[in-house]
Amino acid sequence: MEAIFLRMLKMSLTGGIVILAVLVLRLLLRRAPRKYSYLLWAAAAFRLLIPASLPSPLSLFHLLRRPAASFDLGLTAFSVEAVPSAPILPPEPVGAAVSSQPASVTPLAAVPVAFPWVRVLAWVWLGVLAALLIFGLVSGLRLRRRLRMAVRLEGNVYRADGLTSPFLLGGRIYVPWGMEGEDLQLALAHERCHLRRGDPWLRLLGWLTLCVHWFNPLCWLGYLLSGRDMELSCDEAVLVRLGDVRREYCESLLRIAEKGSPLSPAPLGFGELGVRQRIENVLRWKRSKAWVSVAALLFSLLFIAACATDPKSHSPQPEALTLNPDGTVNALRWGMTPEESAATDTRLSFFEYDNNHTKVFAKLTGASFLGYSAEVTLVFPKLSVEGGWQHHVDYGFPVLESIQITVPGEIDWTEELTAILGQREKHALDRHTGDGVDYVNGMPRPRYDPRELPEAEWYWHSEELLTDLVSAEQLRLENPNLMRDRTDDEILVLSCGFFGWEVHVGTQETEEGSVTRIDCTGNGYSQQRFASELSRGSAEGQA
Amino acid sequence: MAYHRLCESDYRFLSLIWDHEPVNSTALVRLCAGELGWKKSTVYTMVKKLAEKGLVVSENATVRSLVPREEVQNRESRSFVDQTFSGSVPSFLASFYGGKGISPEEAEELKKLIDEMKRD
Repeated sequence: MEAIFLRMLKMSLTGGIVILAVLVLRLLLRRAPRKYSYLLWAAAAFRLLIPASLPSPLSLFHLLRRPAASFDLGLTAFSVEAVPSAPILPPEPVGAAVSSQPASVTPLAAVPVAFPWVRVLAWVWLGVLAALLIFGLVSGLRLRRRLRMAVRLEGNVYRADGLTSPFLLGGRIYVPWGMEGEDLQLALAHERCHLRRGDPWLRLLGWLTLCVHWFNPLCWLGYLLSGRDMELSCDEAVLVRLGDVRREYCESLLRIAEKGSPLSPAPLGFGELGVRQRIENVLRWKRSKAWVSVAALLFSLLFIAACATDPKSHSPQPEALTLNPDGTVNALRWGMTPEESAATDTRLSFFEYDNNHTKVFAKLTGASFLGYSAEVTLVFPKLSVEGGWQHHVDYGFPVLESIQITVPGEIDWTEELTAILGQREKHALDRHTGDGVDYVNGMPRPRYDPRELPEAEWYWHSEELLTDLVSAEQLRLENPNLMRDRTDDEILVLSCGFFGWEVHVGTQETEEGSVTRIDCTGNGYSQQRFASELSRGSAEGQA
Repeated sequence: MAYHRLCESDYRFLSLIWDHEPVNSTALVRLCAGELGWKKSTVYTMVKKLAEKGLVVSENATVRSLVPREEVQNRESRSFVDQTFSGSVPSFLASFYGGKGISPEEAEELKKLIDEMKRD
């Protein structure tokens, strides 16, 4: 549901831009036949209704240097992340008993889970959409009912009571009683032009588009102006068909307009033109030269192509990725400068191993790469990643590309524990939930509250690692991140080069005094070790 | 002269009845389809409506009028449905040929514009 809503928002944004472009172009086409202006609106309708498009070098969106389809509104589409408010660890030694709890330990208090406003908005949108559709449908049906007793004049033309001017509905032309002669003939010519062009269907399509994009004021403007273009171009079509009957036509319009009282309750807007505009347009009309028509037509078609297509150069797949020590990823794609690349907020998060513990499912998130995920293979000991990127677009057309991701530096998993713990090589690779851990001033800031998390699955690399972890005298808990777990123990989350380790450090009172307990969990394993002493490098200064 | 509130459709229908009464309802339906372009249900609704107004009567599937033609023929005795459609049609549904009405001043202005055109 939210996915549809967000995609619709993107289409609305793109469509809005196209509408603006159409407005500009209509000014240029002012002196050309109106039908070309009318034609331009097709581009807007396309953008507003069709979510995908073809690439082409003509695309207007080259100017914006972004592919139309990938406008990201900064809304993380599907995940609502819990962001902790105060993860900073104060420089207090662990091992204090309850009584000497450091007062300034800031546990993850109320974790502000983002209010699901996207979902609410989506439902509001749908509600208004449904209401508008129903309103339109009911109005249409009621109108047809009222016109039941219209008397046929000829063919599909009917006389109806209560009208002051003709109008079209359901393939029939309804005209007032008392409208005769020239007035009738000209009016019928106009309405027939509408029918021939399929205008009622187009108008219906426009109305449906408007219902979907009801919140977009540009769409209302587009509907209004396209209605005007429709009417004026029909007037012109009558003149083309019947010859230069401008004078008669205008006089007829005037007569009909005079019949309706100025206070008649005709609602403003939505295609109802003032007679003045129509008369002026008709009086200005002259049969255009062939070259003007051809030029205008070409111009319009080019413009439609420009609006309706995406930039050809856009290749959304990342072409190169560099995994940074702090867990961010610099992704380069075509047309991106290195500075832009550095500025992307792309995150690479890994989760899920396969049974062999060699495959990892990675997800690349960020504004530029919304929806990309990859299956990557980790090859030990060198952490290089090979794999294919799959682009999961919202509407599910995957595109496979091969790409190589290499990680700078080598990591010797079996030996460089200390190095890892000392965070010389920091790869913030996460847990099953796939949330990223990012670093602020060198400190990991997890984006989850363990109290909220379901049971995680963890995978060991090897049991030896744990032993090493514990026995390494240089277990220096630098830059840990302190949180509280369910039992109110303090948890130290160590972001290391391992996937999915969670180390719980708690204090336990024994006869020998307080000891620090280390719980390491993962994949059904749970081990406890006791260490009599843990030195915390964080004692000096910053944690 | 009695005054009847009738719209043109009503009048056309009544005319048919005057021309063919007493008319069997089936025949009436056929007539209305041909002359007026009405569906069967419309015919029945109309009969009912006029019967309620006391203008026709339908018994044994035969319809006849209750008022003579002369009484109704005078156009002045017919009122036109005063509620125009314009106000009740959501204008996004149907575009009106005539558009909204204009004031006499505006009409004058436009007349002049049109006249100027003639001189070109």
